[in-house]
Amino acid sequence: MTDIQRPGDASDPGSPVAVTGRGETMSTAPVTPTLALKADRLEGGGGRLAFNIGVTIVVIWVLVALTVPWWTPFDPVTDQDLQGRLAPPSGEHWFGTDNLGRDVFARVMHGARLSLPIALVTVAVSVAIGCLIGAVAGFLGGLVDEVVMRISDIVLSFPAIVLALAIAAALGPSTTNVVIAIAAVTWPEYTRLMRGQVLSIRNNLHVLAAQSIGCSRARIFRVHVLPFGLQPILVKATVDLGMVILLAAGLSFIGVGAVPPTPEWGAMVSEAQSRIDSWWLGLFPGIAILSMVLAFNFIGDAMRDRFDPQMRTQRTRGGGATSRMLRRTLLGKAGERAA
Amino acid sequence: MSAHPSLELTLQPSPEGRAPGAPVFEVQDLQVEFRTSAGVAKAVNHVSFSVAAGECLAIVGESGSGKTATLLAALGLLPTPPSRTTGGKVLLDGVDLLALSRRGLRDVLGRDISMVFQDSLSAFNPVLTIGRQISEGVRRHRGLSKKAAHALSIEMLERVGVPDPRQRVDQYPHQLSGGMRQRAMIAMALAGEPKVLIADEPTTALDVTVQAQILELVRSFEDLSVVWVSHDLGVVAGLADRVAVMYAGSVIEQGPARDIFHDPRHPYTRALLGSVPRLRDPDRGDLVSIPGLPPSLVDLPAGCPFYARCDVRDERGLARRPELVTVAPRHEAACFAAADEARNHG
Amino acid sequence: MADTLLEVRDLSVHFKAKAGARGGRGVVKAVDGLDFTIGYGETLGVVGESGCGKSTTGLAIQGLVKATSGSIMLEGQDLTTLKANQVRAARRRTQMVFQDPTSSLNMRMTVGQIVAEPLLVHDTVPRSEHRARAAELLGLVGMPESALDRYPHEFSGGQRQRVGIARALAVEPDLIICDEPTAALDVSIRAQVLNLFRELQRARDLSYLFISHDLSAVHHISDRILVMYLGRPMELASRDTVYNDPQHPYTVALMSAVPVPDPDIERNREHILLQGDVPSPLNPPSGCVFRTRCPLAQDVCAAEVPAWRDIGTDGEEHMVACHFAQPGMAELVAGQAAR
Repeated sequence: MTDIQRPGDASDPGSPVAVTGRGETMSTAPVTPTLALKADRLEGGGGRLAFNIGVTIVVIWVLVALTVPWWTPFDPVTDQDLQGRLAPPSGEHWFGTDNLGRDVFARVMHGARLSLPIALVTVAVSVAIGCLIGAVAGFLGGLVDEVVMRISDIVLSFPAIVLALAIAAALGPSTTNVVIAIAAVTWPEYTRLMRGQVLSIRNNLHVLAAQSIGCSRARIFRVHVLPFGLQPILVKATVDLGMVILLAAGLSFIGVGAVPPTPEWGAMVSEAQSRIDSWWLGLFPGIAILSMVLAFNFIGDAMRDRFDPQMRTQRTRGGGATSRMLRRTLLGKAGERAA
Repeated sequence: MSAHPSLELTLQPSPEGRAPGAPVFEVQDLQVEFRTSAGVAKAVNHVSFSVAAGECLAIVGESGSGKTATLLAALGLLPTPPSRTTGGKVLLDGVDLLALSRRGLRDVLGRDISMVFQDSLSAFNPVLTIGRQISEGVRRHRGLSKKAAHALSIEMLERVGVPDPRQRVDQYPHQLSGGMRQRAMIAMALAGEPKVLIADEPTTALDVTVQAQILELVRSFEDLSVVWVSHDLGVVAGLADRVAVMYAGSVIEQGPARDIFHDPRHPYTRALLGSVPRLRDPDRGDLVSIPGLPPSLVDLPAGCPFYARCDVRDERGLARRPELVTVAPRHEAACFAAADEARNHG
Repeated sequence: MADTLLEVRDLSVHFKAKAGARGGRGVVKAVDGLDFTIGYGETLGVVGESGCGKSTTGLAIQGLVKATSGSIMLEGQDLTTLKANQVRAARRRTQMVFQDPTSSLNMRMTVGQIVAEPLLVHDTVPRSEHRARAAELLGLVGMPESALDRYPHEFSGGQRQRVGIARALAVEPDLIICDEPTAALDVSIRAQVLNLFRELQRARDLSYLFISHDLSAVHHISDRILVMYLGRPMELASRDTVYNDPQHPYTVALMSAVPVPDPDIERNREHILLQGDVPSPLNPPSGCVFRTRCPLAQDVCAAEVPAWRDIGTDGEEHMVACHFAQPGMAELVAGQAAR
């Protein structure tokens, strides 16, 4: 089949370069960080530690959420003990009891069964809506883009908590409505992010190349644009999981979220505020919220650190002369290429 | 014959180059490593070269050959980490730059030795005027007043052939065209009257007609010692008195420009010269191509770094790394075969 | 040219310039009044400095930018009058190879997917045969079959450019538009790729439009050479005529500016230096666009646009756009420049 002689470099094609310190190979990375390269760039001690802590906390909470009914001796709602109400932490009730004598430990643990799904569903809905709208707006441009962006501007001009509060209050307190309210205020951020991604990816050479071989617009969008926009979305979504947990707790705290007696962390903190002397009522659900938010932030930050610097070096022309020099030295080709 | 009215000096140095004098700038046995995720990359391995007063040394190599890293490390401009200079000396008029304090080095840079880069747009600070940036160095190094420095900036811009220097001096980098910016960068580098100019592919991003102007300009500075890094053998041929060829972080051949171009001894140099299409070739056979790729700097072979791609290799290159040996007057090559040949003929 | 594959007549591509910070608003004549033909199995080199419109010409032929006026006839079919749905099909006949093999390949697709994508898009080959065909194409450009399931980042720049060439060959085009295909490659790798282009041409009777600022490379690979400046054609002739008997002062200066890799020649020859930089395409000079840098410029050059005329003898085409075109132009320009 190959009647053409190889151009005198038999060994050239045979040896794909391992991803090493050799300049040329590394230079590919900044263009579009691929998942395959991710592990290779896991560097830097501090970021990695935070990442590991975050993942550990989340994994623990997920396990708790999945298994808690089988190992807590108390039901978080029905096991009431009015005699032993507002008891401080003890061997029997590790986190004490609340004003109806319910076990706070059981309630906090069961809270994960509520907070995690709320966060996941809300972020998923928000990402799906936001990305779709943003990608379409960025890809089509023109009037569609203009209209979508102005709508998102309007939503973004309200503080998230205030708007979510208004929506949740209008819809009535329920867990479903919390999801709707939060998704309704967070989608524009994904829209903007995705639109920006699409706008810059659209100008990549590989998109022009796809056009040149005759790809349809739909295929270019699906195969050559969309996958490249998802990485920063993933990072933001991770950080947002924590934020949504906080927001959902906030809504419940105010009383427009989960309704009692649901063991919701925000609602529990809210109940605790009238009984400041029973410190365990608020402290433990508070720690639960804190740990979850912190964990997702750790993970998100670590991911951002891994993806973002490359994007920054790729996108901006400027940067210090020294950093460019270093990059040129390290990356070889990328820097030495004629403009 | 210069088409450049503003240049006072134009000359065509003889191909023999200027008489070799005492070295002004000398790199001895420099070694630099980079920490990368894949391991330690040995970017510069025992590199030595020197430049005499008024001489132009070209360092030639492909990307990743360590030519830029060598110069940046020599001037202490490589950020540490991830880079680390693990050995060697860099002598400027006998003073070891690597032994200087940070402050001492700052005093030397821009005054005794300057550098120009490939990307003139990012080498300038975009929010300061050209004049301000030229002035900065001379005010620091030569203690000039603001006014005197401004006047000097105009003079320097005029000297390097920037038209309307009085207006240009107060403009921002982006307002200048690429060629003019590159001239301005040279003006900035030369304002401190350095003895040595280090140029890292300063014409690579320019169009050929503009490149020709810049080369003419550099040729006009007779007394300046120049270290010119390039991958363009044509540019080197027109500029260099001596040439050092780098491969995988080592100098594998160096000698007078004429010898390197007409009588290359290292197989890599030969192949490199054969791979360049030439305008004057009447017929066009296939170009010489070097099979394979350079070795990874993280995992350099124990023997000759060019072994895997070499057409004159033998088992010595597999086991041992060839040293630079003199193969002709002032001409060294790091190749066992070349050494044999020189011994048999000499 | 008895057998003409591509005939470009009076092609113009104008862009509306946005009102930018530099206050330029108006029309950029990226390409203005371009005429040339390419025969079967022929290589036409296009040279010129940045902003001369050489890349735009390639994009216009591939239908990636819209021609403002003029015609692009491929085997008698005018590509500029095609309907949108026909354009994509027409892209099968011409394919492109881009400057930067790193960014012109979709880094998330395997080499096999990249090479087979044109087959998928144009549906010329049953899907079951795509893989075999991709392997065959890779063999043609000197890459092993094992590359099929690897990703572009695993390969060196030269190897990636081979993948780009294999992709261009997939749908068996008649014409390949090479837009600076060697600009991002190292000297020795550039030689490999240039050799490959010529081998493929011999084997498959391909035509090339070889666009580059690298005069030596263009001279090496081309049968005829078109010299452009600020969107306009300056001179068009066989490679030997362009080199030995250029009749346009710009061609003379361009050839003179290319450094020769030989110290004896390079240091002793006369360099013809042009003044200044290429003017902004937003505000090109009147009359002949080259007059502001031309050592021979007279009043007539500012007043009249020089005609694109054939001054060839013995039936050989030699087009030039200069009022003063004449044999011995090189000496004339050298004499003027030295004055």
